[in-house]
Amino acid sequence: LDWLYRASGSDTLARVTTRKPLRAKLATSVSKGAAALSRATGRGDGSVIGGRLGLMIDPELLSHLATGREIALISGTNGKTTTTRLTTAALGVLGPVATNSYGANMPTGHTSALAKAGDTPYAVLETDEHYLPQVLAATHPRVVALLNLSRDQLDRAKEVAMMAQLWRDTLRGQPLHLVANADDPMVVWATGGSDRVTWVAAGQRWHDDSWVCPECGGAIARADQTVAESGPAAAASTAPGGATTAAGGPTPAGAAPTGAVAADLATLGADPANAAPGRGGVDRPAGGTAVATQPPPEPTIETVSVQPVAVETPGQQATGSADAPDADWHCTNCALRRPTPQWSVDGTAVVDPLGGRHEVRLQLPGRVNRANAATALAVAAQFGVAPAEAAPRLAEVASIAGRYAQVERDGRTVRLLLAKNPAGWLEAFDMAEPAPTLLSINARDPDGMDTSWLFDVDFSPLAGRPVLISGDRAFDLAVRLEVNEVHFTHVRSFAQALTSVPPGRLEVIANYSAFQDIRAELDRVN
Amino acid sequence: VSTDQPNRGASALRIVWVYPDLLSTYGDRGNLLILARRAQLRGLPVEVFEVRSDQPVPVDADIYLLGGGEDGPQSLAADRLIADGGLRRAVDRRAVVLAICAGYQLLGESFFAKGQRCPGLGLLDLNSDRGPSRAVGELAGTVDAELGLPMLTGFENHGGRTHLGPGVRPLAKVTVGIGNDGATEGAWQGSIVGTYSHGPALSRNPGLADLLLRWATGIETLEPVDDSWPNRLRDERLTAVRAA
Repeated sequence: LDWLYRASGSDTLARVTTRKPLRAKLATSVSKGAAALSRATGRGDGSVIGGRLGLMIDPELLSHLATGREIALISGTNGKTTTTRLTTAALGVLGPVATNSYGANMPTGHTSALAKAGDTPYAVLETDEHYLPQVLAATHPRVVALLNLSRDQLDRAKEVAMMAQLWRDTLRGQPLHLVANADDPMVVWATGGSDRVTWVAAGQRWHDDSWVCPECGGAIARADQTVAESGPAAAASTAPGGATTAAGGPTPAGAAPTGAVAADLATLGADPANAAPGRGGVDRPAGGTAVATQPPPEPTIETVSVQPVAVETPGQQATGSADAPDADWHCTNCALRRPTPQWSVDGTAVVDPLGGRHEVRLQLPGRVNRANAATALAVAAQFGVAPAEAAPRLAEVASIAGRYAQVERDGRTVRLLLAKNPAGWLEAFDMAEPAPTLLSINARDPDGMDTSWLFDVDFSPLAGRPVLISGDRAFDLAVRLEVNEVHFTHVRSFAQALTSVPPGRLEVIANYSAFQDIRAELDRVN
Repeated sequence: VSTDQPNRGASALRIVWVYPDLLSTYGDRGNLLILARRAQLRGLPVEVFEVRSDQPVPVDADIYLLGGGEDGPQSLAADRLIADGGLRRAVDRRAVVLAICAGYQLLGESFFAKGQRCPGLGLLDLNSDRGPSRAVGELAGTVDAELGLPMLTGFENHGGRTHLGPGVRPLAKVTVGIGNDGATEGAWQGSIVGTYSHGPALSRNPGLADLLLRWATGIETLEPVDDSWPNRLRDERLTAVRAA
């Protein structure tokens, strides 16, 4: 194990500043100056402007600034900022660590972060998934952590399969170590069979971008979802959020679907005993009498034994093992399958490759953040940091740029949860307590202009809670919740939301710019 | 399409979502949910089926939905649907079809995916190719008067341009956005409707949802339902694009 034999740090580290060419020194100085000016004039946090100016003077500045440092990149669709913060805390065992802690995750942000880092020998850089190729080429990281890939701002982002291909092409043959999520088929495929991977059972609650094998186009089967592996007879269908309606196996089970749609099933008078697997067998004409016919009859709903899907079932979300975010999976057609993870989460503990349990007393909520902690400890181990030493430091992380922040206001305890895409919303529902909940949606530039993803999210976990909605695109949310049979009240401002709920907890779940609006009302809480 | 639905007795309205494993982006599930809900609000029993691409497409459902998808899954879906033949036979039996974006393109004679022309199912008289730019943004248009629907509103995100043949009618005349080619948007023919609009389409166009339900059930006049929220959303979106 790395941390068992690797000394802290590395004796090959060069002194960063002495090896930079003159142009890079000038660029670094300008970058730092501009960043300071940006902060001093209140125009920004300096995390972008400094890097932008520095890169204008020296296009190779990021590369120069990275030289001689040992760097970890953290990339993925969700959890980058949090995992970067946790990894920085874990690596803190070794000393000061440079990082782009404000979520400025493109090369300008990396340049700013390293320009002000002096000769700090370590850096943890949150990296936008689209920029992984450039940042990897410029910084020659020692470790890259790959968290997950899912749909995000489809009106301008790369589609998921293209993103996985980009990563795969980028990572092929690179002399670096990967720490990757074994539960996300797209991530596993993107590692391209590299043998320098540490696998983390980091979970995947959102399955809807990985039903199809990226290698061969076959169906991905998951252990908690019954998928027939041969013949056309049956497959699992999944309602949003992981509620599963298992289709029958070789013999249709006639499992009774639940929920509003299923309540009408009785009207069908379907008798599973009359249904035969696959094509042929029994056709059922209108009128309900099963008639044996000569093959080949046309495939009907009964003969192909597709089972009705419980569309959305408020309050009946699958929970526990049936919805395990770290269930085993494999392609039903090729060799792609879940690698055996070395790191995992068990309750509130992270389990290391030797089976050692490390309680992580996070201030951050949710299973997904314990998984992010596992990834952080796995990355730190690659730098020689023992998880037992690093784990206590993770508890110091309270909130990140307002994410997970708790604020007392007018007798209410307001907690802020950021959710930017369907996978993020599912995680937020897992974190939120059953308390009054404000949902706020905008569709401004940083959010993406397309709100259709709201229908990819099953909001039924919120049924039964007082739900308030706000934001520029509250009406989109209203239509969505109505279809989901989740009752709600529209409010026009955060202030109105506060006065609409009784003293006590108010959970806030918002997408990016809506989150920033509410954060501004709370004095830009960090 | 009349009340003559050969495969429906007194049983439930059957809605099939075709290949959600390949064709599901931009909230496509929403169209399924909205159809099911609007039928239930009228007291119509509904059954919803998801048919994955490794299953045969049953021929005896009432409404078939096809969603959007990336190039690879789109051409795979077209190959499998052509080989399967179930959707074509369902259409021969006068099933109702709503197809969005990539699903719309593959119902035509041909479309472009991964840099090459691919054969479509030929259920709609149209061909699609690549446009000079990606069409991304709000989409609005005046719906074909024969369908008796108010303005179409949606959001589009596609790189294709679609050229209609004489066998189809445009769904709408574009007032904002690109749609098929900047002039027309979507197409319909018999009981098949195709559109580039997502949003999803039926969340912003409840009248279109009811049209599909009327076609599928043969019920001429559906009971009105409370559409205050969808109408507020429609007004907001149509006002926003007029102001822009």
